Amino acid sequence: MRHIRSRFSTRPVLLAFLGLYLGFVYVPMVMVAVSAFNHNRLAALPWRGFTLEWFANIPAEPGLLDALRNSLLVGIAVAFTATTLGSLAAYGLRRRDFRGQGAILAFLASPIAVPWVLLGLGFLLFFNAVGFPQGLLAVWVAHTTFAAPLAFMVIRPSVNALAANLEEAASDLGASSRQTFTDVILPLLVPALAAAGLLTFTLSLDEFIMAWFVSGFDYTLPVRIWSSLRQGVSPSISAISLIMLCFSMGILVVALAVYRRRTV
Amino acid sequence: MRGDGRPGIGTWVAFLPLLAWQLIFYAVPFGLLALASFWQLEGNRLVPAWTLDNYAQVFSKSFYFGAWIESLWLTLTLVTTVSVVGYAVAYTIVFCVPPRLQSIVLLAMVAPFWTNYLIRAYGWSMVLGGSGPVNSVLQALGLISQPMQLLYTPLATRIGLTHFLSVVMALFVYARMVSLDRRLLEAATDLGASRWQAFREVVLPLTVTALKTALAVVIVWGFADFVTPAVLGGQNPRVFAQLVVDSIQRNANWTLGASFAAMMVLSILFFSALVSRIPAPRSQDLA
Repeated sequence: MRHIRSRFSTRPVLLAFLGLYLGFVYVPMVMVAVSAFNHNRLAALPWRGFTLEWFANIPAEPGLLDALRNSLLVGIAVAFTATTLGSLAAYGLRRRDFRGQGAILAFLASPIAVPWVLLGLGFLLFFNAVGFPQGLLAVWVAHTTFAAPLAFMVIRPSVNALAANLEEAASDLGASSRQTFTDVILPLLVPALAAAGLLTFTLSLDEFIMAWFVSGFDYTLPVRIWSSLRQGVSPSISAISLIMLCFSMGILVVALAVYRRRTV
Repeated sequence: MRGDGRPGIGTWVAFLPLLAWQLIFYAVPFGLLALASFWQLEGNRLVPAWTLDNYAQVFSKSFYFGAWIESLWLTLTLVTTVSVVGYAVAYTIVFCVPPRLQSIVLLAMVAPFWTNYLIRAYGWSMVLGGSGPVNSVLQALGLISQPMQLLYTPLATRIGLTHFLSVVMALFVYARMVSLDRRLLEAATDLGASRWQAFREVVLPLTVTALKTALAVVIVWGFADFVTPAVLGGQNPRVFAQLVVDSIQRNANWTLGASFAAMMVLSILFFSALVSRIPAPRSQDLA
């Protein structure tokens, strides 16, 4: 019946559209890659031949390596604190229902819906009011505030899936509650913790707006890229952008693989 | 013994560090931001002296109102382009791509967005620039003789934001559409509906809620993003989010910035509520 009715099939048209769309999605990334290897000082076309010069020039760009180091430092610190706060909270709330839980969980999830420019401005006012200096510590606080609820949400399903009788068995066998946590629960949570750590690390590494508001003179890599976008770009910016791009996408793939293979 | 497997009473304190962190570093700064729009600056110190001056300033200049209109216009055009493109992408993946390939297509579509939005905007600025591939191709085809001004135009802002937001839309709609009961569609076509009728009467009414949810994200970005308008749209005309940034960066006028931020939040809430109230195209009571 259906075959008779559809004289004209929309399927090839739609698939062609999807193909074009996927091309569209990759256009800016391909352009970054092309300009990173293009022997053209203007970070533009035409193609003047393949070069690795721009990668070699990264250390010569003022402040670029410092910014990279700052970003890595903050990212590692954020991944550590966010995962710690998130996993503790998930453990504290495991298999538990209490009044007002919905409201508290909504509060914890809400930073995701708030535009970063508002968070950044809020932090700027707050840090100024309490006399907290701008700099890497401030970026760490801002990023942790955004990342910790995400870590909590990533880890929570795994904690809730822990078999209830595991804890009981451990305590029946004489384990203290701390031993139960460190020797039984924690090892089972390693995949979820690793996924949360990797995701929050890249979030911090790539975040620009909050960092721009509170970093002061401690530029992170995105803030450094922003300042060079305003002053005229060198192809080394393309080169380091390409490195960041591959790095973030690689981490995403690893985190997904780890998370999918979680034992719990 | 706790035979029901419930956790021990004491361990809930493990939840407190996160809650405390979020109260101190999220609730307090956000509350301060709301209050600051009613406060004054002395030097560069915020003083809790109540005033409506900041809001009077917001409404004093037609330049500010123009920026708000620009943001509204940007958001409206994004709502249109993102709905059409994102919805069509989701529809194609659900109905034209074999199920086992769908998650691969989705991952391929999402992967480029797991990076810095600054780098994406930077990529687009090279694509749209005077010696970028768009102009090169158009010139090679003989369609234009001089490079066209694409970068630093409102069109460039729309391309950059549609790029990201259409993927968000496609994800939201896909999640709903893939779980539709296919028997409803079969029933519709068996009863003589054309494919277009089946789409309009069955698929669209059942996915319009997902579409509206994604539109809330579009509205947030349309009003709040200042990176894409700055990198791709150039400085003129300014959008509302740039006023927030200007008042901080150029003028260190934090209370005015807080008032702009408050107006931004109100605009986002107002238009999101408006979108959620648009009546859905209804068919006979399905599902």
